[in-house]
Amino acid sequence: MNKSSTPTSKPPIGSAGPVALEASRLDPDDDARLVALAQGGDMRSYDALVTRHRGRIYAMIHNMIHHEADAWDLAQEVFIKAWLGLPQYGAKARFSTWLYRITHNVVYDWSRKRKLDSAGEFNDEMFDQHRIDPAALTAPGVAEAPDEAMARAELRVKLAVALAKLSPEHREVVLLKDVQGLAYKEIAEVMASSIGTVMSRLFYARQKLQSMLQDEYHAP
Amino acid sequence: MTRRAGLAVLAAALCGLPAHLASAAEDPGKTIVGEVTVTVYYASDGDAAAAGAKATAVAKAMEKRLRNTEKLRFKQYRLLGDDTQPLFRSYENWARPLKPSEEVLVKFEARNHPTPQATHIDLELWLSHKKILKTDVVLGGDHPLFVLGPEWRGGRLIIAVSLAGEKNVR
Amino acid sequence: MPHETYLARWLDDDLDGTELNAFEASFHPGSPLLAQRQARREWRSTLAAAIPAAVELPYPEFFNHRLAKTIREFQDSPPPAHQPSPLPAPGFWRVWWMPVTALAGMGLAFWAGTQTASVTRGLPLANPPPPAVALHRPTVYIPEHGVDAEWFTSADADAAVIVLEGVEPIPDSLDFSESVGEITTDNLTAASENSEPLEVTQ
Repeated sequence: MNKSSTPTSKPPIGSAGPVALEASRLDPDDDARLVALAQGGDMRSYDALVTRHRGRIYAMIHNMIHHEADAWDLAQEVFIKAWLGLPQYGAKARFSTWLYRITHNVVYDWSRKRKLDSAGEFNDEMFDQHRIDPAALTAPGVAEAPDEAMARAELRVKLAVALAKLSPEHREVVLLKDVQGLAYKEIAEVMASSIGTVMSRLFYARQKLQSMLQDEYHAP
Repeated sequence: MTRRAGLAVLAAALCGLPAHLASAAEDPGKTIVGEVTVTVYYASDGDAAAAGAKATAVAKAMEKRLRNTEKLRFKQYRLLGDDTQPLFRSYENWARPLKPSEEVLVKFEARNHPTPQATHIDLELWLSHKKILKTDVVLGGDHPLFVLGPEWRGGRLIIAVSLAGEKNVR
Repeated sequence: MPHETYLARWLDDDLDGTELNAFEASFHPGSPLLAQRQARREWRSTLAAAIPAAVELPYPEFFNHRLAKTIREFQDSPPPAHQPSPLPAPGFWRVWWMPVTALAGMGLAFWAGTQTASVTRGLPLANPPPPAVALHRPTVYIPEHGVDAEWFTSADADAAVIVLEGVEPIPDSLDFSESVGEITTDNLTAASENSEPLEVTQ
């Protein structure tokens, strides 16, 4: 075992929290400046880019696969591939969009190997709602009453479970649009699809979520 | 906000899609943009009768084509089956050329909008219920993909994937 | 772009600038579409509150440190002569055990991918045209151990050819005249996504 200062146990679920929203609204011009420096071999600039974007990339991966340790590793893989691909990055798209594209490929490859569920079938081991920690990855509410916090936590689980029931493509398009806030054109670039396909998948995914949430609402 | 109220808000928000939008986004992905034909040949240097009574003759032009191809050169060819299925704009589809058998299955999905010159598709070849090959291929004009597949009855299966309507692919 | 596409984008706050101004110029103050857009915004707001867009990952400083170390190892070691098959993601606690050559191979595999017409080359346009038939070099992935694939184009046959070697032979007793059981499109797709052998319901 490596003798460096590495953790000796798995990080507890939910030990890290959501980053401040301001930090997540990244300035693409500043990204471009850092990218240009990193392309020249400046590791400090690349380190700054990683620090800026790792929260979004990790959240995206975690929301796709719900496996914390693997999400950490896959986030590493995304940034390794981004570093290796920097010479080819031509800044035709935003750096963040390019990172999501790499994330899409990394998650796709991992999913194929890990045999995640798809096409609406439920993999109980991965997505059992009792294994989804309601406190994990939750934005803390300011001065929230305990019952509101509980309701929010329950809602988060229901949403996560409903999202998990979607196929990976449909889950991804909802996360990219409704959580990450990407434009249709950007999502099309990330998923290597047409805008029409993105709209079609988003329409279907929202319909499916609506149906599942209505079922949940009407449940006794 | 109670759990029920929260879910009600979400469901109502999603219900707020205008009805006429449903038709607009009513799955343009299911638009058919082409057709793909998957054909399975039996190729052997031995007795072609081993392919069975249901196998039929292969068109001379196709025989010549296969024989001219390195690694696909055999003395005898027989046609075991074929299947033509629509290529959807953004959905995958499956071809079962040896129906009712599922021994050979091909999954395909369009990667781009096809042009008159070329259609770029993602392809998976399944043999004996296992995924054996995943690739992307550009089909166009009379330019198919041939896959030299498994051994069977002393010969090999050759799986051909082409756009439907291409000449000489039978 | 069709009006309904603009409408779909407008409902999702996907329009801006002149497109937005032009589209909203046609609205009257009491348009029911405004309420629908608001409902859509509330959905996104609720979803974003429940599922945050960004989360600091565990041990963030170690994350950067580990990444920098890996990149230095790439820079210090030359890539292997051949392109190895894709490697699994390293385990969380085993990252530093991975041999440098394996990591370099992963880098070479990625680099090689960016040189081909595969999807990892930069960022594609939203609707790129298909590559020219004759120029296309496919990406070939073989999930089965022991199976190799060779790809080439045949000018004589005017075709692309993939030769598979090491595939398990089909039993001679099989005559393709019957199915083992029912296979539906749903379980075909599910099996494909899972890379599982196909399960057949009897």
